[in-house]
Amino acid sequence: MNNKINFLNDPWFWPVIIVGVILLCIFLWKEYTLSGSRRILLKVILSVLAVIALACIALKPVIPTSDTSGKIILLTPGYEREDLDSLRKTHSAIKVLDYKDPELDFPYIQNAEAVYILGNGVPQYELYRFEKIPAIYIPGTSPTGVVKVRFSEKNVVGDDLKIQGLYNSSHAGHRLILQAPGGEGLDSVVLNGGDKQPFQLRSELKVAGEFVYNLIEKNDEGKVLTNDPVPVQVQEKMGLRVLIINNFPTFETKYLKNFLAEAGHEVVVRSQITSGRFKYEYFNTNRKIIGNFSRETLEGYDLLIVDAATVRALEKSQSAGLSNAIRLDGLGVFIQPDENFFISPGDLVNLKFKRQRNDELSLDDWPEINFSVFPFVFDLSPGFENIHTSGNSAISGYMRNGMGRIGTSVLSNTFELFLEGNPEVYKEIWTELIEQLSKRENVPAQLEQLEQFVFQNEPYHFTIRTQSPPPVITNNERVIPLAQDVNLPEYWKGRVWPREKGWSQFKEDTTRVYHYYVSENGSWSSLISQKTIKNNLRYFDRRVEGGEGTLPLEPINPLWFYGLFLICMGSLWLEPKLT
Amino acid sequence: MSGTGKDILVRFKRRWEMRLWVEVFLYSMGSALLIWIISSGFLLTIVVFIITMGIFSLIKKPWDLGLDRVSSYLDENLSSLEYSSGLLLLPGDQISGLARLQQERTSHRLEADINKVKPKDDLLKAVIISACLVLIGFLIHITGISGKISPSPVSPAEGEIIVFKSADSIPPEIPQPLIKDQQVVINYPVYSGKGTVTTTNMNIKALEGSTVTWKLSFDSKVDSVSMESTGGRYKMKLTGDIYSRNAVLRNSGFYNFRFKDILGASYVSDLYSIEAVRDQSPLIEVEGIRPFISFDYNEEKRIFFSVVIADDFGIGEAVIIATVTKGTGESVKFREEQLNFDNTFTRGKNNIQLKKEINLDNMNMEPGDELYFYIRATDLKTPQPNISRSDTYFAVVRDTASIGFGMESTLGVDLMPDYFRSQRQLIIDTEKLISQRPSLPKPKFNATSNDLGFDQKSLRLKYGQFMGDESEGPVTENREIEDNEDTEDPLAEFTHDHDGNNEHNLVTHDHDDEEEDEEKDPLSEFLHDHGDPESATLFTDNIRSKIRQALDIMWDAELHLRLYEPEKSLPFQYKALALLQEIKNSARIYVHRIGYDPPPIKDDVRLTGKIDEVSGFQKTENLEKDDKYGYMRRAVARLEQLIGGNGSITQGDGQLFEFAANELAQLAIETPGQYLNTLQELKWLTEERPAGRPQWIEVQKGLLRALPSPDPDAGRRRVSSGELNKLLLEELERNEQ
Repeated sequence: MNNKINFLNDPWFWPVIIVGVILLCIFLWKEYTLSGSRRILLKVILSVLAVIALACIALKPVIPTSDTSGKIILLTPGYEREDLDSLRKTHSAIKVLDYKDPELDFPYIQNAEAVYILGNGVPQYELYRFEKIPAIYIPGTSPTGVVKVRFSEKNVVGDDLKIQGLYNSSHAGHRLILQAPGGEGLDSVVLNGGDKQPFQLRSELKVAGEFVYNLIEKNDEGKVLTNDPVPVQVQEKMGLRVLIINNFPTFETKYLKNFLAEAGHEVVVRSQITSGRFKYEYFNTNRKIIGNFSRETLEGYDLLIVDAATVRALEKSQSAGLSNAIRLDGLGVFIQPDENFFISPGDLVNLKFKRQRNDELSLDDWPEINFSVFPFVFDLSPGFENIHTSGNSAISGYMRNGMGRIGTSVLSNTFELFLEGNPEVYKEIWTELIEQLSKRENVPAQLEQLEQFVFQNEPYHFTIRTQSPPPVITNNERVIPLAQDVNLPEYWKGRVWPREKGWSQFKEDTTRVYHYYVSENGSWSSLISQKTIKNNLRYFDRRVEGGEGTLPLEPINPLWFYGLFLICMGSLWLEPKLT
Repeated sequence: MSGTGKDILVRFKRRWEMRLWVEVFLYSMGSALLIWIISSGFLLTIVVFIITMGIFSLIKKPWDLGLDRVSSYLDENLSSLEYSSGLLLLPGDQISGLARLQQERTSHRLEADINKVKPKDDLLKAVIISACLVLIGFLIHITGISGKISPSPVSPAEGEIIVFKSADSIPPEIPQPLIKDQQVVINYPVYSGKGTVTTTNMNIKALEGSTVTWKLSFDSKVDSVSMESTGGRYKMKLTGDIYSRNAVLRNSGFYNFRFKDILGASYVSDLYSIEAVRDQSPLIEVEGIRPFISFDYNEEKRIFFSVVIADDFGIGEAVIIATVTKGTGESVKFREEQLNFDNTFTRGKNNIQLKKEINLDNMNMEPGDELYFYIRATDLKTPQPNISRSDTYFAVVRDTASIGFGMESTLGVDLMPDYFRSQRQLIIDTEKLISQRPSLPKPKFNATSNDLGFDQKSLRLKYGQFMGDESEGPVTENREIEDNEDTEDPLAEFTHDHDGNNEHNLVTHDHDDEEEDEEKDPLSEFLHDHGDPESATLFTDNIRSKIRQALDIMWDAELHLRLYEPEKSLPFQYKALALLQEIKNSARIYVHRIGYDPPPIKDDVRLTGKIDEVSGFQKTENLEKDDKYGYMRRAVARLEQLIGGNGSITQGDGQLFEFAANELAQLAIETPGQYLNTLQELKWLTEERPAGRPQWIEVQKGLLRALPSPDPDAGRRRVSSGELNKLLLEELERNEQ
């Protein structure tokens, strides 16, 4: 209980007190001069009481109410009429309030005996208000529409934008369409009317930049029912630095080298012509010294493509250097295999193989093409990650080794794909292999958002992960206060309330810019409703005693003060008459 | 008085002249009106008017009307004049009194009757004809035929009118000048025979090499007019009030017009396409002939075929290019001839059917010669005609003599025993013998025939050996004159018989073998045992049966030779040869099965040769990645920013959009229907004219659609590996160990 007396007109406190004291002084002086010290004590008491009554009329003191507000139903969007009716039936005096009502008297709710929350529930960021309220959550019907969606917000040119999701209680015949910026339809799914329908939409990302794709739902007549934004950031591809070391020149290397060099990557090739004589080729780069396999020489490369014979012939120090470059610097290694390699891969490579009979296989991604392979497949061991598969067997894959990756493929003579008129397949196979194996570019700083979507006028909690503390982040020229994580010093947390919809950005210094997209309120409504229901169910799964909440304060009825003042004044008036 | 009479005559003459002129005018006016209604060409109308005026004047000759003619006309028509009007022309002082009297009388009568006569003319006819002409003109105009006849349409259709929009951000101060007249004149190349086409449609589709002239006129004065196409900006020439430009059509593309009004405000038109249609090469279709024809030497060697040639603008030439080859291998000789078709060829036709019969005998072709030919057709295109040629067709006269060389043509080494050739040699010799028969004495003939029979026998025997047959004893030349075939001369070996010398050498070994065999196994002759027939022969059953058949046939051939009947023997020999040829072909399988087994490479010797002269090699190359759509991609990204409400179009954007438009134009040339609208909109964005969100969205949509998928290309992936990741990996590694 708060011991302090509170006043509604708190700011007037001191002026009222001063005026009261002056008034009291005048009263007392007048009484004293008119009637001397006779019954002076009574008069003083009456005067003081009268002035206090006056001051109270002006200041309006408040006191906590003594009783509870009874039971309350709080309606949120999506509530069920039946739930409401049955509650009303059970509790006749129950009060019904709308949570969206701007004039909602929250202190009133806080003092309730029990609060029934109906519908989708209270937004996540307002749940804290119900901390001490004995609330019971009764969820409404599961929302209709896209209730789950997953897509990669950060991509690279050439990647597929893949949107996977779940549609709840779909209408047969309705269509979900993925629209490009500009409104061009890219991919669509016809809803089958099922209870829960998973869907997947995809499209190729052709251009770098920040884009807003749209996921729209149309009915049979083509009328747009919902339109939800899919914000996508697309970055340019980063070139690779590739080192190819061959014991003797092969066609496989020749085609691979041409493919990589023509795509603009830095490629250095060393192939042995004869003992002690080498052919060095430098594409898109200056001449460099390729000495031995030391960590220092390999530092400047993202991927090493090396044939098995060279790996076998490595000296101990070279092998150690290579191993360090892989483990510590994250170098990727692709080994061009030969038959012997599959039988004994060597110490460096932790891959295992088993024999199979076929000379040709088709990959899952290209079932119509036969690829020539060595008569082996990967023996799947823990930690192995596959890149290409054919049925249950892995055709290419890698093992992690520290920060780096060592991988290979049982595909042989892939250059034949080129000659057979399948250059696209060749390119795609090698693109996949090279990308998976190559050293990753370490992003020094990154913006991570806790929620999938950011909405207008709703708090946006974010985390900046950066290794250069303390970051100074500005949003629209205003510095955002950040709190460092206690356990992970590189995590800095912050919160903003975005006002404008569309792409927005945080700036760190002048160089780094983090983009985020603010969606319009009301978009992704089904998904947000579903999430709110879940959050509410989780949050209200607890017990809070009724009436435990802080009692609300109520102003004392001023009639009391008027009455007191009147009595005091009346007494003072009557007293001389009585004598 | 004569003066009065003459005056009347002169007045009449003037009236007459006037009426003639009116007549001429009516005719020419009628024709001119007709032309004007039909063509609407003012100049043409004037020309027609003048021409008809001239023609009718010459016919009517109104100036050539003499008073004599007037007076005689009046005499004819006014009997009251008593043929005396001529007197009125004579001066009064030169005629007699009577004549003067008559003159006066005539003068009076003339004065009284002159109104009764009308000058001789066809004024009514002229009025009717010219009225008819005008009526016809109206009819043509109403029925709309004039539009089809007229070379230049009156006004462009609603959608074809060039619409100019202000390219400036500030609204123009004076009303926008509008197009009054627009015209495109396409002069097709002369060879196409299409002449000139005038149109108001600015989207041009014409034959490559055509000259295109654009003509524009405006309703008010403009400062300058220019044409813009992907290459740049070209000013249009002003002649009179028409701005024009001409260009020779070479490539497809897009263009638009731009003009500045007198206050310097510029206006830009929509984008129009130019499509240069390539002149197609002639299409040749050959019918009635197989690609490869062969004739036997005794067949009738005729080839007959027909050819259909089609071209879009006429065929210039069509000939058969024939090459005859003689001989084989290094001694091959070529002879090229150009043949014409049998039916006459008309130059300039679009579609033509031609026939040809080639008689190989007329081409001096002998057995073994080959003829190959194709049809070449050119069109009329200048300066370089399009040439197309048909497939090549072969005609071969089979060479009986060379038929045995089938193996050699496919293999480097002739692995077959060379005595297979002797059958061919036998045939040649037999044929030679037959041809020499009349000139040879009979004994010589018989002897030669017998010799051939012997050769045939030895061939058969050797072949039999090949089959696993035993030798039939020593083969000697059985000259009936000297020896008896059945009784072997025991002295033969010792008599040093020169004639049989060679034969001894040939077969001695066999003889010895046989003797040895006989010694070893006296039953062998009766047992007819060749051991395992599979191991005794090289051939499969099928081939063996063929060899057996050939041997039988050789028997017959030999028989007839021995009977001095080489003619009868010859067919058998041919049959035998044919069978041998088949056998050889079957034998190919065996030949092909013989593979080359290289000796294994020793690994320890590898890379140990002398390498002093082998040097290392270094190569540095920079391959620029050619991004054909870089600006289009950047434009899409920039438009997304603009659509999102970040900023407004800057000058840099204008340039970016212009570059993007150039890239898109390349795509649009290939498929104009798809991208033309986008290109148009993009073009507008490059102007200073304010554009809004709807346009940006539209352009972005079009650009995204036009952009092809990027090539698969590996790139460095970005990951954020923080302290936590590092710790985790270290922990994992520790646990692994």
